[in-house]
Amino acid sequence: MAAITSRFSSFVEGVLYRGREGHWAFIFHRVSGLAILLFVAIHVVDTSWVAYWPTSYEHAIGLYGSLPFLISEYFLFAAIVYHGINGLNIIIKDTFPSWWNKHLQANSFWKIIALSALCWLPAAYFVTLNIYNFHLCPALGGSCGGAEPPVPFAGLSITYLIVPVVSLILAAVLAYGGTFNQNVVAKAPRYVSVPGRNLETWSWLFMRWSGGLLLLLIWIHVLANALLTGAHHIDLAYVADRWAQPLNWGATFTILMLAVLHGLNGLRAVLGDYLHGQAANRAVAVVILIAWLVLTGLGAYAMFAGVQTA
Amino acid sequence: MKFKVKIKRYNPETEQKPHFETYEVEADPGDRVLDVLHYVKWQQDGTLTLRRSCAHGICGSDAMRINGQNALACKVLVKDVVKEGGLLTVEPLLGLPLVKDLIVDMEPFFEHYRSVMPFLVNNDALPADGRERLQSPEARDRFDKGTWCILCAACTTSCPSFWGNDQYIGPAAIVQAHRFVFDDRDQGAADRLEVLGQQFGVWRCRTAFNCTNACPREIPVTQLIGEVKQALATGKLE
Ligand code: HEM
Ligand code: HEM
Ligand code: FES
Repeated sequence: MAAITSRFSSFVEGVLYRGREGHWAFIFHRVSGLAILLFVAIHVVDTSWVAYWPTSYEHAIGLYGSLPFLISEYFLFAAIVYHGINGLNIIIKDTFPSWWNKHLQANSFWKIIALSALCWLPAAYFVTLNIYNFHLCPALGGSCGGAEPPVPFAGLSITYLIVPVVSLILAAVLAYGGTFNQNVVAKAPRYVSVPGRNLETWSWLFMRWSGGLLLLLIWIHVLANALLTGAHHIDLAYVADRWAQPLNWGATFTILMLAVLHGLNGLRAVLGDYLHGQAANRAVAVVILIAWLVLTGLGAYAMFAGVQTA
Repeated sequence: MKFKVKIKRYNPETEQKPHFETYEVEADPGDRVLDVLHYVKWQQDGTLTLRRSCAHGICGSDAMRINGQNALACKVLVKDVVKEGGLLTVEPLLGLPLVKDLIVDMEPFFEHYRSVMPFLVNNDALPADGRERLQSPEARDRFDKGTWCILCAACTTSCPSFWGNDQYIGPAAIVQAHRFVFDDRDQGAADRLEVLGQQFGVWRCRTAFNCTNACPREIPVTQLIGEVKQALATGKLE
């Protein structure tokens, strides 16, 4: 009697599985995480050129302002807001497992989508503005504020925008505490000796702590660089100026340290879902460690060396 | 009511790959999907192979994919999954070796079940009266939901992590571990957590929630898995 097992076909059929909100949330989270990782890997390398090949940097940042890139920014920012907010949902529910219940999960998925759309809209507005000012308007032969696009809130400090956005998220996420801890019966905790923390335990904890920290840092980074400033106004002098401010330098450096590792470790976890056997998984871990060292090394060296004037 | 039922068929002796076959059936809206399968097997095609025993949602032998979602054929009513003249799809569980038609090999599933030591571990001497180890109703309640499990595998085979890699211990085994880890008469928690903390243990859970939605016994599977993760991360059994 021959039984057939095909991992490949169960993967393909799995895509067609009629899961519900939780399944969609998981798929979006995975796809968005991998998409952001792809972007960050490229971004770290081309930004590091400010220290090695300044003229190539100017060329690269020119590409950030090109029409195809600006259009893909709609998707990039959608991925960033969704992954961040859904990640927060995971972090919170993992901390209060009784929130992982049927009603809340279906409900919070739609809240997360709505909230992501809400946070994405301002970003989309700025992207559209850039597309109009630098591509559409010149193509139509209009006189377009070109170098000086009309940026609303320009006088407003970033912090003023971040605060309402973040409190909105927290409020919405906390709003589903309606059935708080209903299922936990025993109040006096017992203690158990647990195995020492292995790579998988550390990795699980790291994904949560780093994700939480990255949420704020990345949004501020994107808001400041891509939206309020815009690729057309970024050049070597701008980067030099940002890195001259210790707070901005520190924020970018923290992103560099956490985001690359978070993304690559996420990739390791994803690959581990499909690779069998210790040898393959160990090989992936080694390759990913090397990729991390190379990427962060490149980026960190550039950040310490500073911008090279062309 | 009349409708069509499309069943995934596989005969290992004559076929390389499974194929679909469609049957015209007539059933009461209040009939169960299992009755429809019986009708096909008994009236139309005796070669249709499926597993079932109690027919009342207790033995856990007839979990399968019904309209693309895991469920027990004996608990799903026809009126909830198909309309007059519509099409009902029935396929075997995903992620386990396919043996024939709707039957999968459950051995990998039970191997994971055994790995968490699904039995009470207590090496203390029996109570003086030689009878049972008493437990407060609250302490009994703490792990009650895990005891509802009938080992039908609907949860484990709905899990994306398990589809990708059957070395993953899977939701059902974690629920079974939870049932003993959170039992205050049990002393084997540390050994079970050792197993669950491994590379293919509880951390592979990505909270995709398919397990909770698939469970025919209404066990909040993702929640119980989350409690096991917390126990591993903090050493506290709350
Ligand atoms: C914005 C803040 C972020 C938060 C709050 C966050 C949160 C999380 C969390 C909690 C997980 C674990 C999911 C699970 O175990 O089920 C995760 C996974 C992941 N994250 Fe993030 N993350 C953030 C940013 C990023 C960035 C910048 C990248 C890319 C560089 C990234 C890539 C990934 C990947 C690839 C995974 C693995 C997905 C999977 O296992 O299916 N994340 N994220
Ligand atoms: C299209 C949107 C983005 C633009 C226009 C942009 C622009 C910039 C600029 C101008 C710098 C150098 C100045 C500074 O530190 O602020 C920089 C550095 C950096 N950005 Fe971004 N950024 C974008 C999105 C992101 C995202 C989504 C992430 C992470 C998830 C990220 C991570 C980083 C890192 C790690 C560095 C340091 C790179 C290095 O040292 O080589 N950026 N970015
Ligand atoms: S036949 Fe026993 S559970 Fe369905």
